[in-house]
Amino acid sequence: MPPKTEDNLQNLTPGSIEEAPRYRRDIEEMRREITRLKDQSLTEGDFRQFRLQRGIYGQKQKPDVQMVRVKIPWGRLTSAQLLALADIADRFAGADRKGIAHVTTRQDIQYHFVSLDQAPDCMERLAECGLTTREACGNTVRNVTADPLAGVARDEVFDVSPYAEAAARFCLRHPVSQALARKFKISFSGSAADRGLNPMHDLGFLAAVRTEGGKAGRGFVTTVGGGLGPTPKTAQVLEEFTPVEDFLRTTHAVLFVFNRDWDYGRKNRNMARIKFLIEKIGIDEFKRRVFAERHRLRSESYPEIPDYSEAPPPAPSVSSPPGPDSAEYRRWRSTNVLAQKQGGYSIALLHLFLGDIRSDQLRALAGAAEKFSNGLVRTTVQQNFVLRWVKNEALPALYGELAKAGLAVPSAERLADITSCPGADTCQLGITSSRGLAGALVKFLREKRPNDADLADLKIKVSGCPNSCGQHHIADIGFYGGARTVGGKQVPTYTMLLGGHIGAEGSGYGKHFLRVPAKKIPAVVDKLLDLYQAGKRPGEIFRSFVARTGFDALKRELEPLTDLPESPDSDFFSDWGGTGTFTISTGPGECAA
Amino acid sequence: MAYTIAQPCVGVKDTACVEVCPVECIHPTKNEPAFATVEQIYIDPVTCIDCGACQAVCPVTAIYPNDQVPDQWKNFIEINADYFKK
Repeated sequence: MPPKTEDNLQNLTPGSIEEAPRYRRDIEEMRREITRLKDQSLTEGDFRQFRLQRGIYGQKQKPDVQMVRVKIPWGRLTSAQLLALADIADRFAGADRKGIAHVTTRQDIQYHFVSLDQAPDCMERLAECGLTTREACGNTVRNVTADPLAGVARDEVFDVSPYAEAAARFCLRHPVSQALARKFKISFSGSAADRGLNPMHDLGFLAAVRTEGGKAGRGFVTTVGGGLGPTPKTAQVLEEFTPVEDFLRTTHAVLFVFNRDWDYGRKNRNMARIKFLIEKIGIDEFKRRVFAERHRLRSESYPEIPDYSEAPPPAPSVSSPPGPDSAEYRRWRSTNVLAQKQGGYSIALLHLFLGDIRSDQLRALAGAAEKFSNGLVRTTVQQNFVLRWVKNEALPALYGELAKAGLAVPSAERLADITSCPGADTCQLGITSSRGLAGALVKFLREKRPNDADLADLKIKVSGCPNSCGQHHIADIGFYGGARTVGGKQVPTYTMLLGGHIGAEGSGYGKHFLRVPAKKIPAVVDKLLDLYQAGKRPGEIFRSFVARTGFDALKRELEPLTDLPESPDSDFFSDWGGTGTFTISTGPGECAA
Repeated sequence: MAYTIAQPCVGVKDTACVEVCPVECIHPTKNEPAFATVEQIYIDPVTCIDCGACQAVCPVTAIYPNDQVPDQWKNFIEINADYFKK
């Protein structure tokens, strides 16, 4: 049975319980400022700054429609929180997104088409179960993300969860991070597989252990200055080993230097991220400033690292009925289930279509978390959920329950699991409908290339503009939206990148390969997969095949497919998911507002 | 609003901006005959969507949003627009 709502506070971290009274204050402030906006004692511009700081983001469907972003620190959610999120999806999300919650590439949950008047009520429902939208947008420290397998991954050095929790609580409301030059993103990874995606983060912590005087101590390889967008940068090492005792002080020092030294970024919004400060002064000078600041902060005291670990769930009082042993189950088990480091337990990945989950599915997930796990789930940066602590013998029964809710979709985090930003459907910066393209590609792969859908070495990610919210730079095949003018009419296009990756074998961003009209992309992907299947050497992964074959040889095969007919079929002038003729309708983004 | 390519591009014509522009509004490109004869490359202010992708990749800091073009180069706003009126 799903938990009851009176169990709202069950399983919360001490940090989120401590925060609860402050959430109330945020809500009261939001109500007051909306009133001031309406009676014109507050300008639109001032109100925008205020609401962005509180996770309320304008959609392109102005004036009154908002996107609400809920911070989910390191992706951890309780079953009671899942129920609240379901309730919010039903009550506050609107238009064609009613009843839908969306998992973002940074482990947040977003709702679309929320009316401004209802935003405080929405925040209230979140606060009841220890969640907040505070500092989910704006020039603040955004959601602290972490490896969703932290604590259960077989390859991890140690569980980074308590450190991610400490960082999230330390940064929230901290004076140094209230008016940064630009947003700031922190991530944690527990192993070389780097599932937290540290190389693309402003500040990344990779678990490490160092032995000194015969005693092993925990710490992090600390990296800074990573980021995507039009000028992607791979993070550089700030320090080879930052002891865990010093990591909050180091975080503080990095934020302090960014806040103090980057007024240039405040005036030049396209150069405002910390990566541009580091580029300007050089990593050595940046390190010098950060370490000097850290030294100055020696006398500051920092919160204790919470003692957090997850225990196995209690043994079920009734045994689970056996589930199906079908071909579908076996496929799901082979693509969506991983072994935990704790013997006898498994991790189940829930593959969501473009990160969307319906309210009834959230409730089913809450029930499954209580019945088969420890009442907790995590969101992932691949826009999915994971259920951990599932007894191996309970997997068939779990599959049966998930399948009933439409949550047992195979191919999790494989070729047919495509990442996408919201794109032009709702985002003011979006040029093309990235969700439309991603949806079309998923359909194409499932129907036309079912044997490739489960390929693990090949991922596709799509963004609707160069800003890379869909993380197109770190995909084997990445796309970002654009347009071309042909005969005075606009054609939606995508720039295709190849070769991006983050993982145990290092990281690298995809390189510009080809510009492709949107409607021609399935044909180009189809041909590229044909070339890969026909030309790969035994055991050769896609990225290696591309590097060995070379862009020129691949272009010779694929470029002819990108030509537009001389008398273009009108279909090329419409976008995926669009009904009419394509036109660019971007507006000033609020990302840097 | 749009972006403008100013004086520092003259004689450089790096084209990193051409590669990242999502709406292909920077001309002439290396594949266009005019590239060999122009002194610099230009942004079409009518097509520009103000995304700023070009500004961050310019190796010589030649690109500015129109409201931030340094005073000594304000005339480049018109120079860029004029190129596309030919």
